[in-house]
Amino acid sequence: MGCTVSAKIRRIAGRLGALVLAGLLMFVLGVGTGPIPALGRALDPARGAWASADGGRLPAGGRLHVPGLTQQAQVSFDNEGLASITAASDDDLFRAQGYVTARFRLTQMDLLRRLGSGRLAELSGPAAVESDTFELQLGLRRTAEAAWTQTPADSPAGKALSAYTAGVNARIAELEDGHDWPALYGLTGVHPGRWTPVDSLVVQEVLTQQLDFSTVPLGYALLDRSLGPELTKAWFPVLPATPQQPYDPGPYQDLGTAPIPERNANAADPAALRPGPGPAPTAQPLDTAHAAAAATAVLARADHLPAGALHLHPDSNAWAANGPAVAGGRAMLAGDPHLQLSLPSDWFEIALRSPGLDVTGASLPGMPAVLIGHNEHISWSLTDVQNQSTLFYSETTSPEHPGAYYWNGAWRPLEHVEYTIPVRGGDPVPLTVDLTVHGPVITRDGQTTSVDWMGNIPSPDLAALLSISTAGDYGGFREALRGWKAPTQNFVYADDQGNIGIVAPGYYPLVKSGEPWLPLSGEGAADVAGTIPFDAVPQVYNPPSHAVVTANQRPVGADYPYYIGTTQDFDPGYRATQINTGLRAGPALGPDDFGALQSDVTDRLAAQLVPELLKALDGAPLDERQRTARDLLTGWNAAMDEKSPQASIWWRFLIAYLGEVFQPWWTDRKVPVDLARRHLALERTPPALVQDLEQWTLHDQGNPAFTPPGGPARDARAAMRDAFAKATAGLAADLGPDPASWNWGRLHRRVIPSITQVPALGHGPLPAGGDPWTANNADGGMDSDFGPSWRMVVRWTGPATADARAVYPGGQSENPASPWYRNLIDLWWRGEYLPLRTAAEHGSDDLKWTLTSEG
Amino acid sequence: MRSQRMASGRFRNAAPLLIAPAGALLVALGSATGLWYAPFAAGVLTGAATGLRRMRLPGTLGSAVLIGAAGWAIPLAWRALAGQPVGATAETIAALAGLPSSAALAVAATLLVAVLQTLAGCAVGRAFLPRPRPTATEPALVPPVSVTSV
Repeated sequence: MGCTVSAKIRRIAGRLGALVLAGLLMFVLGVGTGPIPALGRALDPARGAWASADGGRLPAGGRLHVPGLTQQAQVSFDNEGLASITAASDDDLFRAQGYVTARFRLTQMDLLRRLGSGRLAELSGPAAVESDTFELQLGLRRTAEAAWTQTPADSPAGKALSAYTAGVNARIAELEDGHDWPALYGLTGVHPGRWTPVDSLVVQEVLTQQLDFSTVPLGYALLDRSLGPELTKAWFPVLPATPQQPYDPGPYQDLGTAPIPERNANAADPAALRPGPGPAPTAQPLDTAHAAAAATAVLARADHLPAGALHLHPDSNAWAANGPAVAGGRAMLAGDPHLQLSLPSDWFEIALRSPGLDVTGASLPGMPAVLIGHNEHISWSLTDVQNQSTLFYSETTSPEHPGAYYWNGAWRPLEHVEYTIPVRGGDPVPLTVDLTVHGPVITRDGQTTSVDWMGNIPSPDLAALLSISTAGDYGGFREALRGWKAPTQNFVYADDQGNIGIVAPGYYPLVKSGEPWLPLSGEGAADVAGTIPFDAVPQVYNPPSHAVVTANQRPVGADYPYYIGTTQDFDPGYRATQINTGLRAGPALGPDDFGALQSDVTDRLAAQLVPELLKALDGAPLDERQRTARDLLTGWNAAMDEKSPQASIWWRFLIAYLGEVFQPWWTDRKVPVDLARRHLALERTPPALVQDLEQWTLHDQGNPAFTPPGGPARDARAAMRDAFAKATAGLAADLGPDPASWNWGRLHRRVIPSITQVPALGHGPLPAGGDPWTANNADGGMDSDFGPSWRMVVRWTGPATADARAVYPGGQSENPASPWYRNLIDLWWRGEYLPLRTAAEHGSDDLKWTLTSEG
Repeated sequence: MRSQRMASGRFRNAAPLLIAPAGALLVALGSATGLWYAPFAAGVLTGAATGLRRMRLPGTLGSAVLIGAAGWAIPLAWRALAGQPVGATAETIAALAGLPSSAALAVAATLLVAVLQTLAGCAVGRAFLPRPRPTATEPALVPPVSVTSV
């Protein structure tokens, strides 16, 4: 009897054990736990991540169903995957563009949407909560929603956004039916929701943030506190001491201040504020300690943003030439926007054609139309103006007035927006965003600080782009740009009539008072009064030099009547100088010459400072290794070639030189480098300090800065000698004793990371030439991940006739298993191009789809 | 009696050969229709069937492993035969999962998930099987103590 009971118990226990274990296993496989996804679903070979294999094949031709098309649309792909769409109406065209782009870039589009909407953690897990918090505070989605509200549904932009959205959703519906989601979704089980026009505007906002949102004033706050106001102003001045080559040399007009008609979508409405009771606070100067603490907090949080989310590096070259500067005498344009490199690329190359539109170039996945390219008569490219578009305000608060801030003579209640951040594998995170009249509060550490960012004012960029796309001359082009507000961009222009120019539309905030490069008082006196009127923004048309060049240098001269930013905002101008030099190198340049200039790796700063270094080394006691290194530099052409040992010596010398001169000051004044490496770390070559060194080395070798605080007197030559000794010793330790073997490529590489941040899905790092100041830009450190994201040359050979070429580092597909994932990288790396074909030029041998609403 | 025992023994030997392909096909079909848990269901059936037929444990486990692994290998092979880049996709999956970017790892992990399901199913299937009453002519698969206590 006892045995029976015992056997029954054992059997029940066995059954229970089997059930519990199986239940646990199936729960984990079916639901997932914590960061572990539901592996049963994820690895199901038919519907899990494996289903993405279908998207890894080259597409086959045929008819595809896209609901809503009024007529068939033709899509073709050449051997490299470069696409063209021909449709019977603009509506069909943008619907097809949405479908085709989503077909190849849905993950990228969704990640951009998630980044801007503060929904990354829903896909990526707890690690993305900081990013989501920052973006929800900054309010990209709120701005996008406001922009959509202001877009008339029957306007060209409204119709384009709606049609594009429908096309994207046609693809999402396909995926829902077929379950062949891109691998990221198959693995995580978090699928993208339906696309909306607001999502497209969020993508626009993300690009605006990348180009326009700057934390430079926070760096100034830390410098002001540590280095002191005097040295900060002297070493990080508003206007550079070095010679510049502005594309708009003047004369300038002071046209006063233009009002900003649109309201900041992330600011409390001043008209709706009812003053609260209470006395005014005691007037006090801004507390630099608290401002520095606030700056530290914001910068620390900004470090959690995905790579490239904030503006960190100078972006882009674009130039145009005409007349005698161009072979054939018409106009020619080159453009290479520099961005955080990624796989897939920021760009999707496409040709769009309808009865009302014929445009070819680089589109931004998630947005209709083409951002950079050409139509039948005009071509254009962009560089970032890099004016100061971000203002920080130190708000006055008081424990006696909780939930309020003092503005325009009264205590005002903060407005609140509530969010819940969904987190994959974690608990949802509640978030309250406080809004002041200036914008969202981004920290309460040290000092309640809000940010007034021009990107938070809705900007009808798509309307401007659509107008550019149909413009036929400079007048139409310039007029179209009147509506472009953010991000401020240098639009470079060339047309088939031989005209060239640049216009830099956008908001250039002008404050009523105060030093806008520092956090400003939030009490009202330093509020934004308006912007530079459109007719007074930097611009140039058909200059006598027959060339216009923008490479993020200060676009105007010292006598420009408006404040637009400091030396920390703009590029030092070495790329612009080299490009201008290149454009004057020959009597008449062709597309190959422009292409060569885009791949040029001449460092103009090296060209100026190395001769001074060699002079400093004259007569100095050098050991054999130092002599060899010096001899290598003699006669060097300043080219940062991958195989160049001189490039290594120069770069290490420059970093050591910056350290020799400024590190003693940084140490003495306790400059908090670790709190703001992006602005203050010397190895990151702050543009203001680089220009200081240039200026002092060439013209002021006895500048007191060369003498360390409390140390013996020293001049530039002594500092250079010390830096040279350190550089060569460091190189010997890192690369061996023979200076001839110190190839730049052994120190410096390029990497193109995957947008998923998975190293194996990226490209490189591989040895590469270039540096932050070469036209072929390589920024972001010794493993450079920032540079030319698109290269284009358009030569106008006659009326409505262009020879256009382009390339970008990536491929049209985001699927790593696709042959079109990275097929363009080698061409880009070698400085080669592919024809940039219009829809009419796409070949008869192309792979073709017919998109139809039937079926 | 001897022939019955021989037949039973032949079944036990041949059972995996019959059960495994059928089970694998079932799992593959289940996967195609979105039933990611088909390996578990197939495991339950396998556990029950092999238990009823008193298949020895190694044979049962072997069947379960075969059913799970082959059941999910078939759709992968199908994809490869259809020209889909299964190897490159496997590398992508491994990389996204935080593993070394190896196709073999992703395939192994996939088949392991299927096998774990079938084994778990098999354990459940066998655990809930009514205990067979041993006959006098057949050796019991369970200890004789349960016979005497009935």
